[in-house]
Amino acid sequence: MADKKSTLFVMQHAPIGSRSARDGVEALMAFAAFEQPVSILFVGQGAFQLLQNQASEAVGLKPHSKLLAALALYDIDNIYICAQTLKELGLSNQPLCISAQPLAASEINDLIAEHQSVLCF
Amino acid sequence: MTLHIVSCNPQPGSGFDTACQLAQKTDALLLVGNGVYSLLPNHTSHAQLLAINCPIYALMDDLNARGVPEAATGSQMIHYVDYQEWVNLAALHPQNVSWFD
Repeated sequence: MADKKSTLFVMQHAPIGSRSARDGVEALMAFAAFEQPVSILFVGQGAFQLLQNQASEAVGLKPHSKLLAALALYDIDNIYICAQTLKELGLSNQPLCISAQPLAASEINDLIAEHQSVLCF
Repeated sequence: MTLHIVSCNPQPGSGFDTACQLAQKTDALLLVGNGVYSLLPNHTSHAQLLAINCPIYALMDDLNARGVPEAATGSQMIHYVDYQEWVNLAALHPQNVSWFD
């Protein structure tokens, strides 16, 4: 999946309510801009970041989904989501703003282990 | 060999849940900050905590600060640590993953 020097970004917060989601994606883009290999995992409430059609201008924020759509410009392909989260949060049948590969808990453990460092947002 | 550091309030859907789901035998789980409330024996999250099959650590200062009693946890499985031991745990595990509010 990822090479040994890669950094895993673990996104665990909903897009609105704290700065964490935005901070995480901005840090991820900074890494990618300097050609550092990165992966991103959405888990728990972080999965809410992937909902389509976030019209968050209504609450005075730029839509997080648009920020995530820009990940393609940075050639970030290692995008994962916790399969159990998808089920628990009722997201299995929801269209998502970017495609993410669902991973079971054991696969997430492998993912964490194979990265050199893990950053949590 | 991951150290899961849980500082969030142990409520349904929180990082506490995720950490409990992910923690496997070779991992360790460290409760700090509001994560220590899961040590209260009648807290709804307590059973979930005890179901984990990896070593569980808790930062003594954070228990004390919140009035969460050590004895009331009623379990031999919890190892109480200070800041120095936290550093040792962090160094011992190749990956540290933080779960926070």
